[in-house]
Amino acid sequence: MEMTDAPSMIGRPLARLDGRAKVTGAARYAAEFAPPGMLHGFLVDATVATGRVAALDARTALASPGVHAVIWHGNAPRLPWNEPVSPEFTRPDGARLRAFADDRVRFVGQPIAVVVADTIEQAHFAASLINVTYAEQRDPVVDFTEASAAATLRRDDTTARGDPDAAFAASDAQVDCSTVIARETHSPLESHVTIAHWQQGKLRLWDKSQWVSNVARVLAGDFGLEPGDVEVISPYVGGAFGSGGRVWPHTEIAAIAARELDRPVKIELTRRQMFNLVGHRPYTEQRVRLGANSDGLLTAILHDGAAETSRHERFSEGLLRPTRMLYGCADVATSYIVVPRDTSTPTYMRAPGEASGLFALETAMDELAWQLRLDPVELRLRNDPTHDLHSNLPFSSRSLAACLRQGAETFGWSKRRLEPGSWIEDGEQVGYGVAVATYPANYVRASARVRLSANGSATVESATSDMGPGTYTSLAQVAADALGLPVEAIAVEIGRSALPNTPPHGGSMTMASVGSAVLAACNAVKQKLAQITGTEHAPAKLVPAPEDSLVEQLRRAGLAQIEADGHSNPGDTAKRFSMHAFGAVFVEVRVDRELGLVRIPRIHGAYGVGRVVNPRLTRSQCTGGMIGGVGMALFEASELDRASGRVINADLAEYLIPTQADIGELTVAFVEETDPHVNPLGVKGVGEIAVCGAAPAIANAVWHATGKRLRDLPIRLEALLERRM
Amino acid sequence: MQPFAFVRADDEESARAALRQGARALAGGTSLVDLLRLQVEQAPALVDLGKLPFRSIEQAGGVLRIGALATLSDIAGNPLIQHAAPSLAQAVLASASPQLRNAATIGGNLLQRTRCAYFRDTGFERCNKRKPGSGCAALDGDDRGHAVLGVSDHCIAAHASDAAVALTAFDATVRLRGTAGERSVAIADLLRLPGDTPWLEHTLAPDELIVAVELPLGDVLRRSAYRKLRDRASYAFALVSAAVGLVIEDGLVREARVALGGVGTVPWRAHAVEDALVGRPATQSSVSQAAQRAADGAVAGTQNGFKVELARRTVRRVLLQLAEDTAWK
Amino acid sequence: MLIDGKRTLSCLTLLATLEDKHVLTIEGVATGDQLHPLQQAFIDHDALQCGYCTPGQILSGIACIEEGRATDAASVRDWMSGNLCRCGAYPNIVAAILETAGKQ
Repeated sequence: MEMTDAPSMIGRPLARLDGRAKVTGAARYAAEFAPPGMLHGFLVDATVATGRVAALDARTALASPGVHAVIWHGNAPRLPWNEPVSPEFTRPDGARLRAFADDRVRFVGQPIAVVVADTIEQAHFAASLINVTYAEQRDPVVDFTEASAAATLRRDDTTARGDPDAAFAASDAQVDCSTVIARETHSPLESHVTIAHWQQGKLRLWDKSQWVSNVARVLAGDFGLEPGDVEVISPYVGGAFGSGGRVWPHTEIAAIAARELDRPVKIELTRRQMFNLVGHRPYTEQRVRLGANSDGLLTAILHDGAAETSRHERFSEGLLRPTRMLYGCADVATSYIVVPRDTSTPTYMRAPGEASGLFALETAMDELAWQLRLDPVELRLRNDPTHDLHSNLPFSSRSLAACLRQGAETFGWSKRRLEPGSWIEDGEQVGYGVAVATYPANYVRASARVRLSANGSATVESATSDMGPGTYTSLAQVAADALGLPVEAIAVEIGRSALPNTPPHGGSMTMASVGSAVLAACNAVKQKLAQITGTEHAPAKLVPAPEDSLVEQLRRAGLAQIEADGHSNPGDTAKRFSMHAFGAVFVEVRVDRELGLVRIPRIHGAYGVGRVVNPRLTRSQCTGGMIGGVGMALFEASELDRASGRVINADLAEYLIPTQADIGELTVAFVEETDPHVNPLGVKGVGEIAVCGAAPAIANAVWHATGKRLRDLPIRLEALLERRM
Repeated sequence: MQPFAFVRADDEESARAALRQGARALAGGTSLVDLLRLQVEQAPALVDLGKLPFRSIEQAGGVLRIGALATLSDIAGNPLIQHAAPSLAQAVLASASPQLRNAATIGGNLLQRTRCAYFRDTGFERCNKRKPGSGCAALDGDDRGHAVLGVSDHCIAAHASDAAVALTAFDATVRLRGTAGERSVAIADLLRLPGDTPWLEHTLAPDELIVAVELPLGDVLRRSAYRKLRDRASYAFALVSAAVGLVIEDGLVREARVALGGVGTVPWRAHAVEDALVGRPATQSSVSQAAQRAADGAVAGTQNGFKVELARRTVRRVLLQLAEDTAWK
Repeated sequence: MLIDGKRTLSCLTLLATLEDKHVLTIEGVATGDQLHPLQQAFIDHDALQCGYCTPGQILSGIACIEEGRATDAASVRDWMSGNLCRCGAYPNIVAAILETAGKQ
């Protein structure tokens, strides 16, 4: 950033613009809309995992007070189920579940009927009165090992360079590390919900979604409508973390029910349903083999991943992506299989793939460091590559070494002794752990519209969402900066499918993609104005005099407002550069070994993420991600009943996420990083990388404290109670 | 949830009249309303006990009398209990969250139903508590959180209360009043082991109300502590908890009380540990030896075996801390 | 929500039990346009992200301060542990509560 320029709005730690709405209860989430005449739907879940619905007796339910209808495949309308005009790429390969289109049961919890009533209580009660007869059931395959018999290889993720097997065999040091990560569930505090309302053949949805543009296209395809005939509204999203990335059946069921009854219908999932119907981070088993020479240079990396999917869809994610590019190693192989279980389909969950893959890789790196008696930070520094050996491209920017060095310095890493289990304070074992974080700097096509008014205000419009990172605020900062207006003068409108099209609000791509589109729209506004005022070729001053401001020019031109669309334009950047964010996470743990208790008094993360538009909000996102990592490391596991495939602990009293009392001091630092290639704003996004390093750093710290290497997540107390190391 | 009638009891008699007609007693509602919403419980009617005068906490002679409708917050914040019954104060503080403690009552807490996932999810066919005679899915399912003491071939669900563990350790009795009159029972006689009738959880007559819990005061209660181990630092049910009291005189253990939570189908009194302690020197090794008896008689399943060792270590830890606090100074 | 000043879970409270009780929800915390100090502190410390748990956090925080538990970070963490936040705004929530308590 040029320091001599006008004080930039970008980089300022402004308070969240939607803060007031959120602290007063004025922010309206999808479930809070109530079109007149709205009815409530309650989903009837399959209680078996396989077979088909042979009969459904709804007579008692229909006679129950307040009930309007029971809809199931036996009486549901046949829909066209056309594919959307542009692909829903958050949907995996396979045959998506089409609500009530057939009688097949694919997983426990699959919606097989909906009861629609005047109140949610009436609908819920009536749902319990429905008798379902199932046929052609077989024992579901739930056990992962058993399910592995039907695994399929993901060819795109199965790669090799050099001769890793031979290189591994010839290595001075070898590590062979197998890890398991439990299934995790996003568990946003807001339940998923859809309100569907038909008017004159057009459909309006209030929907909890991270991608309203897509919901409109998918629903239009389902019902055979023009994309413009479906409007999706989602102004505030109460967390989602990936669960709102694709269209789930309850949304289509709400639309079906609303059309059948010609009344608005709302369907809100129960917490239990949230564990089956909106995806999860897949259970994974991984094996990492690392070879190194005695100088601590990696000579071979072999990373094999296996992850669960459903029987009807083949979900995969970026599990092995970090392994292929993170370290300077010539001989690298990765392989990836997906394993179908008779359960629901996984989906992207914050740092999908990377968080899991890095746990395996960074645990193995820690083991290698000890085998070589090398400091784990030093081992990583020695293997920092000059370029991406997988794509053979230069990095657009890469600050991993700076993150490791600066992070170690801030954290006080030098206090750490090399030997594990050697440090006791106040009766507790103390351990320090480190792990590397990385996530691709995604930059894709997005659109925005900017309208500048002669009254000195401007409006930014884009279909994107704000599920918490602060999109409302950061987009306003981009526009304020580009238009030379105070941030308060910018109104941001997002979360409506009628607004300019955007990619999913996820994958750490919103600021890069939508932010760049806003910048482009602002530039288009300026250009349009310059054409009108004939100042196109006038040299731009760094700080325009007040009388030369855009608003003044607009007034002088006698225009009330001027509007332009802008688009981010990724072009071929990804073909010329390897673009990733990097970070290093440092953790201190204290372990009460006798009772198996782990505390995490502090975590420090150092990140190189390009330009930071709003440090205050970005810090929040990073510490939030670390907390997600604490959950992954110590608490989170959706447990499946082996006999039936039901999620056993499907509520937030038993599916444990971190509480306030589990979190200590969290600090964040951003290393100075200027990336002129990655996108016009020079930002890389932090939503995912913030989750990435925390879990392996915690597990590595637990090893350092206790000498006990725990490779399965979550780390629970019984694992530490065992005496054997 | 199933539609139900709501009645507010203005006095004990109207409460009993409602109970006789099949109403369920509603106090804090933190357990019952949850289970109604999950459709695990069905009630044609609820009778709200909120207006009944059962909320006072007072000392009468050598007994601490806690009204059945005293909330867990009332108990945790009561100076007399903090001083005279630290184990109980700590147990209720370790329960749930401030919000839940503000609503949950001690009477309801004693009768709260298990957290067994197979009980709480009507999608599971087998649960003898929910559907008598249907079987127990936990026996061959996920049993990590389940009991290892007091289990039967029909149920291994753990009792979830913290307060009841402390009350069990210190010989509390429960005052009951019904049409047939008033009586006192020990917690062990109020809460039933599952045996072959896991659906019968307590010995209250249909129209009996818990009116108070009575706790004998004394040295061992004053020198007591509660420790709860769980998967996260707060707001979770116990994997293992221990209520312990210890009186040491002239280097010998005069009195000892030990009860465990998280491991039993009911709050579990560890008499074997007490017997091994009393009359013997309060040394580190004798305490450790006694603590080894904490889970005597345990029957572990496939995943909950760690609770046996964890119970021993927890008891040892609390005993040693109490010994350090009281005797060795 | 606060029932007669005490924090309570609305999802487990039957409306019929609230006769003659004073109920405070987030909509009643500010005085007109004037935010409650804790509301302002939540904005200043960025003690929220998606905002969905925020009403509960603020009401619980008000009670936590009122109960005298907002003495240091450890106490706030313990006494606010009943309010889950999935975005992980926890450290900033502690800061907001401590600052507000310190001003009183």
